[in-house]
Amino acid sequence: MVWFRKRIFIYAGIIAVLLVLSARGSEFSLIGLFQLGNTWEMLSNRFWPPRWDLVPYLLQQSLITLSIAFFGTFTALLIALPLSFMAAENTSRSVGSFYMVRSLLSLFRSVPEIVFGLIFVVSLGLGPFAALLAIFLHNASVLGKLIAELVESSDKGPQEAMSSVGAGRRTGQLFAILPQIWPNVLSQYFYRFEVAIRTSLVLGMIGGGGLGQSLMNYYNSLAYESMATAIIIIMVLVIIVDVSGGIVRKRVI
Amino acid sequence: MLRFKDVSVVYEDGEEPALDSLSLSVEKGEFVCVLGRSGAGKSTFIRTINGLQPLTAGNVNVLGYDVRLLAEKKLRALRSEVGMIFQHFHLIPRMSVRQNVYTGRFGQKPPWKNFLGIYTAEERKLADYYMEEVGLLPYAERRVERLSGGQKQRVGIARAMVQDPSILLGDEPVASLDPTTSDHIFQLLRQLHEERNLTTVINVHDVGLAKKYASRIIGLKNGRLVYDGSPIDMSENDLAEIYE
Repeated sequence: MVWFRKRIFIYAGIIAVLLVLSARGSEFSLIGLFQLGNTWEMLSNRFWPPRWDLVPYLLQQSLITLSIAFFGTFTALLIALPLSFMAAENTSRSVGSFYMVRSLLSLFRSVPEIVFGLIFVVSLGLGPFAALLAIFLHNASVLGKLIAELVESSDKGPQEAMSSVGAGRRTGQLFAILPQIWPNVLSQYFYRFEVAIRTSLVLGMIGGGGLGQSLMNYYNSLAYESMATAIIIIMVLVIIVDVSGGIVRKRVI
Repeated sequence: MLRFKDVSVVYEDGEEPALDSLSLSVEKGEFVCVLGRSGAGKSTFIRTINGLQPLTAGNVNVLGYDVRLLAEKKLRALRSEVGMIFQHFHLIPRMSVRQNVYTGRFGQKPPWKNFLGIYTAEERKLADYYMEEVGLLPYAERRVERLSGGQKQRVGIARAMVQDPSILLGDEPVASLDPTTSDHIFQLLRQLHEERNLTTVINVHDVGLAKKYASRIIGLKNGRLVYDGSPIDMSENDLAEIYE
């Protein structure tokens, strides 16, 4: 028992209690698990065969979804980069601005995209623009926080070297820190882009356009074969983004 | 050229001062090696010269300027005249040798030119000259991570020299290198020192290197000056005083 201290058993006890409470709260049932077979039966009876004739139309819709995710996350990255330097303890100009930017990022990050989406669909109307804004706001704050943490953990040596040559504060920070954290920034970006594709599908379901909206329309009209086609296209889209992200990361690192 | 008057530095978390009422001068053209045990105050001493280390008391006068009184902009201007090389090189990763060397000009250009990488023909010639001097021109486009320790330090030297400095500082520049490479680096530093008529101040652990290349040796112990003289005059007793 040399590896285990007393407090580990206390933590294990607390986690066990939380698990039981969560299982009750989420109505977890072992009997329900045995009924998963019904789901498979439903899928094979109603979702098969997919409607392949819808592929051209759904590809068009997937372009809208991709546009929302790419434009939303890339502009978020552009805003997040300078914000992250203001939100990092080692690069912010003052304690006041550090706490202000950090708090703003936390505030926006705490609002899920779906909530932003619901607000913008009401205020701006149905369509991809509402989804785009929702994705942009959430991702700017998430990326801002994640990149700020990378900035804080960067090696101080190059920053010191830049100070020693007489470089200005911002120039020094930019050149000493950005090359160090760039592979991780890209990694975070591609992950967020991938998440944004899935999120834009959800936002589509509340009127944000693209594949998500088509998926919801098929669901509401009980057109499960059409839904199956949309799901296959979504899966292919996410895999393509994941693979291409991996290739870019490899090249950059 | 360099004047230290009653300089003391006490770190926030330190009980003993890193530098304790240190007073000395370094004249133009001297090649000074600073000896001392770890924690003797050597790095602190070097860093007070270009203002990387703030003082607790006293003043450091560099090229006629009291470093302590300089506002940020003037301190940057002063730093651009003082080249510095580091033990761990402090190169910018993912950048090429050439790009790293160009960063040595950052203190002498407006930020937008640095950002866009706009360099005059003269500056490019200067960078090429020093890359050639340190033997790295054939590797100019190679990323610095792919270089050996000795080559990395040569990039650090080229970066410092491209500043066209009048003072060159070295904070344990050979501590991470093998003895042969260390000797080559010191040869190079001495050669550049002569060619550019520099004032050079370098921390070093290797007494042999200090005796071989320095025109003057300063010994520090617990932040105090315990030896100041020529390498020839340095006796075993003096060394014992520094290192005991």
